Amino acid sequence: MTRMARCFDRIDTLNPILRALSFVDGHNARAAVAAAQADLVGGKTEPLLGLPIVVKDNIDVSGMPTGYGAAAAFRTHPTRDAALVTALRRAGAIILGKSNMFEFAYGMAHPDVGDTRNPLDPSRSAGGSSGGSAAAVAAGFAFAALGTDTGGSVRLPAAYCGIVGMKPSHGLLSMNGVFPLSPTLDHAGPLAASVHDVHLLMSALTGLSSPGAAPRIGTIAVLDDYLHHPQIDPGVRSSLDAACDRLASEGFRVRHIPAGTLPDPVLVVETSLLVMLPEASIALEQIEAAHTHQLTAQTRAQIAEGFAVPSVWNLRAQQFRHHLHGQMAKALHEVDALLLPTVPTFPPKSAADVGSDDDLSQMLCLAPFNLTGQPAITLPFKTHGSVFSAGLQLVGRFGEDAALLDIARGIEIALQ
Amino acid sequence: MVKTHPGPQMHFRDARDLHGPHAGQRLSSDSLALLDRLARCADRLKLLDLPVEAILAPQDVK
Repeated sequence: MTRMARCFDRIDTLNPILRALSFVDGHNARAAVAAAQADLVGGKTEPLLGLPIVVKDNIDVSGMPTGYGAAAAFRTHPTRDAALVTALRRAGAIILGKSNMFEFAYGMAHPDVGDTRNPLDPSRSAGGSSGGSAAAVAAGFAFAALGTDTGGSVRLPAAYCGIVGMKPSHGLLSMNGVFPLSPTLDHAGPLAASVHDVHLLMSALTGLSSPGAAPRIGTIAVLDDYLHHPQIDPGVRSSLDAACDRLASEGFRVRHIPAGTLPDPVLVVETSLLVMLPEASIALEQIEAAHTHQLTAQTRAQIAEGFAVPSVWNLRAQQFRHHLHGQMAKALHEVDALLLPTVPTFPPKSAADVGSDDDLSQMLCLAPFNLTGQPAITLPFKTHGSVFSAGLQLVGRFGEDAALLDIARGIEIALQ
Repeated sequence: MVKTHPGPQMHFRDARDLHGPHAGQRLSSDSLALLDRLARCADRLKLLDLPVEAILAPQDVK
C-alpha cells in the first residue's frame, strides 16, 4: 500500500472521530500521486516529492474552500495559493486537504466545525487553534501540516498530540494568503512527526539548508521562571527534569537561569493580550460587520474587548516587548537554546479548557516568543508508562532558525 | 511641580468605555474582569519606567 493510500485509509477510518480535516481533495491528490510517481521514475528529486501535506483552514489553497473554522457564511473559494503553499508544491508536496481550527484562530471551536479530538486519546482535546493540523499529523493522515501561531497555536496542539511543531522567527515565512489575526504576533509554522521532517519543510519554505548531521552535544539554559512556575503541572515539570537529566548524561551542558531573572511570566502573557486584542479587533472588524450573529459569543466578546483596550496600554506593551527581547537575548548568552515547557498541563478534555479569558495559563510559556519573534520549537518527551508526552520547548536567537533546528535535532536524538 | 496623569487605572464598569462599532454595547462580566486585569497589567508596565524610545515597530525590535 502506498503512503497516500495509507493516509486515505486512516482518514476514512479516523477523521469522523477526530474531526481533524475539514476538506479532503481525494481526486486531485490521487492524480498528483500518479504524476509524482512518474516524476520519480523520470529522476526528479524534489525534497518533498509525493509527500502529502495538509494546510490549516485559514491558509488559501487554490481549488479548496477556506473555512476559517467558522460558520459556512464566511467560507471563501480562493483561486490562488498562499505563498507557502506555492513553495510546498514547488518542492513536490501534494496538498491533501484543509485542517480544522478554532474560529478565525481566535475563539473556540465553532459548533458547526466541532472540537478536534486528540489521536492519543480521543476523549481529550487536540488543543488549538491549529488542532486539526496537529491531529492530522499525529493520526497519520499526512506527512506534515502547516499551521499558524499568534499566541502558541502551532506549539500547543503539537505538544498535546505528541508531535513536533515550530514557530519560526517572525517574518521568516510569508503570510501572503494567510488570514491575519494579529499581524505583529502572527507566524505560520510547520508540524511533523520529527525535527528532521520539520526541517525538511522549513528548507522548502525558506531555502534554509537541508537537515545535516545533528550536533552530538550543546549547551542549553533552562528557564526556571517557567519550569518552576506554580501553574506548571508537577507531572510536566518532572518529565522535563527527567529530560534534562538525560541530556546531561548524553553530554549536553545544562545550565539554569534562576527564577526571578526574567520578567514575571504572568505579566508577559497579559502584555501579549494588550497587543493581540486590539490588533485582532481591527483584523476581524469587517468579518463581524458582515455576519455578526454567525460568530460565536466568545469571538464577539473578544472583538469587543479589543476595542476597549486604550492605545496607551498597547504602547506600554510595545515598550515592554523591546525590554523582553533584551532579557531573552541575555539569557541566550553563550548557550545554544533556552529550554522550558511548551504547555503547563497534559491535554484537557475539552478545548473550552484551553485559553479561556480567565485562564491564560495555557499561553504562559508560548506568548513570550510571539512578542519577541524568536524561533521556538516543541518536541515531545514521554516518560515510561505515560500516554501523553510533555512538550519540551526550545527557543533560539532571532533569525537563527537553522541553528535552532540543528540543536533540536541533537536533543531529539539524545532523548530517544 | 508638573501634575501628571494618574495613568490607566480605570475600570470598565459600563458601556461608555467601548469605542468604534461597539460603542454603547454592554460588556459581559467576564470581559470586564479581563479588562480590569489588563488595566492592572498596564499599571505594572508603567512602573517599569521603560524608555520611550522602546516604542518601536516590531521589525526594529529584533
